[in-house]
Amino acid sequence: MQFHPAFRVEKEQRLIFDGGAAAPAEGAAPVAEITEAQKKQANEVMGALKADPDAAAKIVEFKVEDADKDAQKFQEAFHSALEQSADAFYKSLTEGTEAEKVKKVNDVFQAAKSPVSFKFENGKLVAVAAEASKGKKEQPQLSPEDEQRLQDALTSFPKDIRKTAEQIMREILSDPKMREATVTFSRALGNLSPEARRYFDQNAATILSGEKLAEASPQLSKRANAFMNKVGLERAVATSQVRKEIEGFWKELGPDGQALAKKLVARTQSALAEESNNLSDEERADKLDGAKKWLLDKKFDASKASEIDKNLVLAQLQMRGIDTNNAEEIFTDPSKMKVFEGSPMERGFNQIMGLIGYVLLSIEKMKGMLKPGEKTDTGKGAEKTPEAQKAAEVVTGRESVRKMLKESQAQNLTKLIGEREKTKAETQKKIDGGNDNTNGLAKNLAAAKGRQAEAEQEVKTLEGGKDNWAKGEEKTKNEKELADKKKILTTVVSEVADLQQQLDREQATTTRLDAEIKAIKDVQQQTLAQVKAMRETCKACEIKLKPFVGKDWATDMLFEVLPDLVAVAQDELEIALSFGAGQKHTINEFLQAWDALGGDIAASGIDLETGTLKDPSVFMQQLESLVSKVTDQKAMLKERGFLIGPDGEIDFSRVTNKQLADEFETIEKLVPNGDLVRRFNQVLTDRIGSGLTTENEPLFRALVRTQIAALKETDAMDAARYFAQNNLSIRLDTDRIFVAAFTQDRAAEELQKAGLSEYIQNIFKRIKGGHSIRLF
Amino acid sequence: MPNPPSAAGIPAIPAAKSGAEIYNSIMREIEPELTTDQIPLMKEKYKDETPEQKKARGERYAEAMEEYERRYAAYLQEQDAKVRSFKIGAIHFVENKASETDQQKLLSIESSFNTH
Repeated sequence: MQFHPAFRVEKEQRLIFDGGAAAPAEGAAPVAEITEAQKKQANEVMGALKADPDAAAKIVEFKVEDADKDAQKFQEAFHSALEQSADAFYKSLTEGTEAEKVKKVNDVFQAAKSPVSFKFENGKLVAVAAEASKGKKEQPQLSPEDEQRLQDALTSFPKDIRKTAEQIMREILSDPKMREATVTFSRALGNLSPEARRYFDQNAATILSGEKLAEASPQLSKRANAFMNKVGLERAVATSQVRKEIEGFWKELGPDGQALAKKLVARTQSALAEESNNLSDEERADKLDGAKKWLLDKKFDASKASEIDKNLVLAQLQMRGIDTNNAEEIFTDPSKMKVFEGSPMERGFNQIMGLIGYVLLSIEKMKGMLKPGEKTDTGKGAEKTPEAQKAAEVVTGRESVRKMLKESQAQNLTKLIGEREKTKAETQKKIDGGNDNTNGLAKNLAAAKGRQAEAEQEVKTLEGGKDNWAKGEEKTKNEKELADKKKILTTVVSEVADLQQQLDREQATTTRLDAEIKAIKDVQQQTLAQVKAMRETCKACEIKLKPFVGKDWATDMLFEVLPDLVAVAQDELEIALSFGAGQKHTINEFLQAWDALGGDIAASGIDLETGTLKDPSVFMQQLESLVSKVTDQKAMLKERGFLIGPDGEIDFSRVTNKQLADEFETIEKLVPNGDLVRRFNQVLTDRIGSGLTTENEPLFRALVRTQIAALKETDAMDAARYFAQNNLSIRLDTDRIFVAAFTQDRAAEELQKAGLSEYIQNIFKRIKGGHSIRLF
Repeated sequence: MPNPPSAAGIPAIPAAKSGAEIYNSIMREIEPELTTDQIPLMKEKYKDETPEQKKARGERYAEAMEEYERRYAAYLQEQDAKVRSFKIGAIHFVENKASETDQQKLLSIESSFNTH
């Protein structure tokens, strides 16, 4: 009797045997029968065990493997059932877009604790986490930032060991302990001398596996050197100093770092176990050409880059299989690049080290973990000066503007202090009197007080002798004199009071001014201290401007405000925006760039007639606003799919005709940057320049549409009427321009009469007669 | 009249077991010596056995393996049944969810009738 589990009645869920036997009774346990093939296999197994029971080990191994496969099949069956039910639910939904329906399915299933989510593919829903559900090991989860960083780095990585490299990096990034160990690792590496570092690079696998360094054999060195000389490299030798440094490096790693190192070696070894021998000449040439082109395309200017940026580039070259020991030579002359030579293990390991370095450096760059003075390096940067090491922090042009603003504030404070001191001096003059012998309040008050004392004495004397006054005329005379004296006294007392009040007021003023001057000086000191601190960290920061030829102005005020200005020649001054050695630009270069970037020159704070700076604070604030605007514009352009080169400009060589045509009409509204719009026009016109072709037709359409849109309504209607009257079939509503049976020159003549611009006439001249263009 | 919505969720997928776990769970009940943790100890345990003892052991192992095959076949049937049951459960779940949506639509149509 054959039993086929596939045959059964769903409703009853009973098993049906084909062959006629009755179904088993309800409630009875299923009785399993095995097939003939299975019986045969079982007999063979029994025979083998009877002959040799020790064969059980191998047989058990096979049984476990079979059970594994079956278990996997069942899991797949469960997930397939889930997929089918999700697909059925999806098909039952009648409202919404495809994406909305998929979302609804996922929402419903996730709420019901489904172990997988779904996506729409090839006409049906499929599980997204299908790989994980099949029992494979899940990849460690990274944060979105780390994931992006890793994927960006892996695009530069050779395909053959990309998977291993990715796995290693995921483990490092997702494990805090390993991540920390990587940081220690890079620091220890950064402390090696160039000689020891070169030895490390060429023997990394041996060193990091913890094995003892091989003794430096003269014969071996000679042989190794001969090989390296052949390919243009010198093999590093383990001198006693190098050995000492390497041993120190190993100790510095500590237990976690050593464990990480051994893991790296083991993983790379297993991944590269089946690799072939050394690089062929063709492979070497491919690597070099690829790396050189990559570096040239990057347009990387090492003279202006920070150490961390240089090391990032070196790490990427290392990932591409380049020997980066001669870093400075590579930067100045990429033709000096050489491929990293060695066994597949050594080469692969070197590349993985580059990947680790790259990801680690990019993380540290973003988080600012590199502190000034810290020797952290997994790349091979140039000889580091203390200043270069200190300038490891990344700063932007905006920081530069803030610094300038602070300095301007400091200067403004000096002005405020000056004003107050002037007021104080005037006040003091009122109190003390001037050099022109005018009496001050103090003196006047003293004199008045003296007169008061005299008057009081006189009144006292007169009153004292009252009793002795003779009657009659003498008495009258004395009484009158007393009254006069009292009157004088009253006047003098009042004068003293006034003068005292004035003096008190003026003295209060000087006291207040003293306090204000002190407060402003304190703020000024703080501001200057901030400026000093910013200067220390902002040595390399600058705002990039585009140079141009034009009128140069002199400005004295700018010289006062920006302390790093350098007088160049006669009336010409340059703005040293990099605060030290760096780019210098003339003022009108600056204004031109300001205008091109969409800034309002009139609001720049610069007097356009004389080139003098009217208000440094306004100037600085406008500059900061402009930098912010440019940053936003670049972000917007990037969002629209434009590639922005290292010079901050759109790389038009990467812009397709379609993209150019699509963006042309809207770019002026989106990015009010005159220079950018001019560039767009130029690129578009250049591409049409050789004549209308199938490829550039989208550009042509975009150009004509914008031109027609620029016509006033009446002009457009006149043009349409004109064309219709003269049998030129132009209908601006459907935007089909048909230039039939005319020569090119005649067509241009007709267009001129129609009032279309000379610009567009020139474009139409390129149309051959009879060509029909759809504009939309 | 549509069925009222069900509160049932998706049936749970049984946890994945490894081949060794499945094998051992069956064989432990039949012949513990043939489990994967005991196999490596076999050589040392029986290093001094006589040929007769070895033959007897072979017979024992052969019978154990035969019984294992039968029980393993039953295990496979059980798993098949679980997959079928899961499929039916998943379909019921989807049917209920679909009818919930219809129910909501019907209710909104009815309520619009009531307002006119």
